[in-house]
Amino acid sequence: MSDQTKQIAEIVKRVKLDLEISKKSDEYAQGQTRDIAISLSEKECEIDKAQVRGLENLANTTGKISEITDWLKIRIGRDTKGKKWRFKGIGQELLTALENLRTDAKQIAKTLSQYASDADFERRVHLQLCREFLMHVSAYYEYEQRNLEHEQSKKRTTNATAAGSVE
Amino acid sequence: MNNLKNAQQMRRLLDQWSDNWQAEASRFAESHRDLMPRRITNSQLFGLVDKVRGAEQFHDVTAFLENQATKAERTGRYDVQEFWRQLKGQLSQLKTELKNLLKELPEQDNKKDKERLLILLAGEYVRHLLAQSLFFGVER
Repeated sequence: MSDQTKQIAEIVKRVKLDLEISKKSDEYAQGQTRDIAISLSEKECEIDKAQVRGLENLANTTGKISEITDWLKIRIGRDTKGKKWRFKGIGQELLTALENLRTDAKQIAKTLSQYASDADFERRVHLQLCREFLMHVSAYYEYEQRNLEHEQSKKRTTNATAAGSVE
Repeated sequence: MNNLKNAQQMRRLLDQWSDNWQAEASRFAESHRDLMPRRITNSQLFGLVDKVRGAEQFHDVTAFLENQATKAERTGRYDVQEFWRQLKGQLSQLKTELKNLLKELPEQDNKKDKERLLILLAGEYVRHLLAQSLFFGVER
């Protein structure tokens, strides 16, 4: 195979992979990611924005899925009051969800088997899917937080107006 | 350019190795589940993680494990002693793992680099172990 043919094959592989990942990512945007984000945004849950962003950043910078799951396990284990990553079993649910993405990664690797050149391909697809999943959780979480803040400020304004009219 | 390529290849190999060995570290933790996190506390495991991170030689890590085993023996906690001994055995296996990893890379002559890589592997292993131990606490 000439160098040019190899390069073309590599480009085709990347484009097809991006397409498959995008399809899965769109699926994730509509399901479990939103439920997890809603639980994270509940008043009683004491997880702050920094932790959710921290998890998303970790996923985007690491090359290891195990680093993400270790991060979660350590946070779940440290939450003795059950108000952070143990709240309503969010951490455990997230761990299971990330693990389940392995099935999708297998499926993508199978679809692209003619292009997959090395044994590590499936693992890297899995990592990419984890990044997409956590990106949606983080985005929904920010959105829910903003809604909450908006509602609270609206309530404060209404209360202040009501107090003013009584005076 | 070649150095950069080698570094990238090495990083990818380490990432792959770490993900594959997470299951092995979890299995080891599972086989000592009765000891964690009460008899082998999370503070002890955090101490081990710190020790590995700060180690200059792999021998520092094994000496630390041996010391933990001796302390446990002195106080008659033989199950705990066995845990530290077995963990030392597990980490010693990493030398073979490193040899296998290096086969996939261009010749590495620098002894210091090899030592550094061995410590990196140990760091990954003990992080998996610590995470699993903390997680056991919740499952209970």
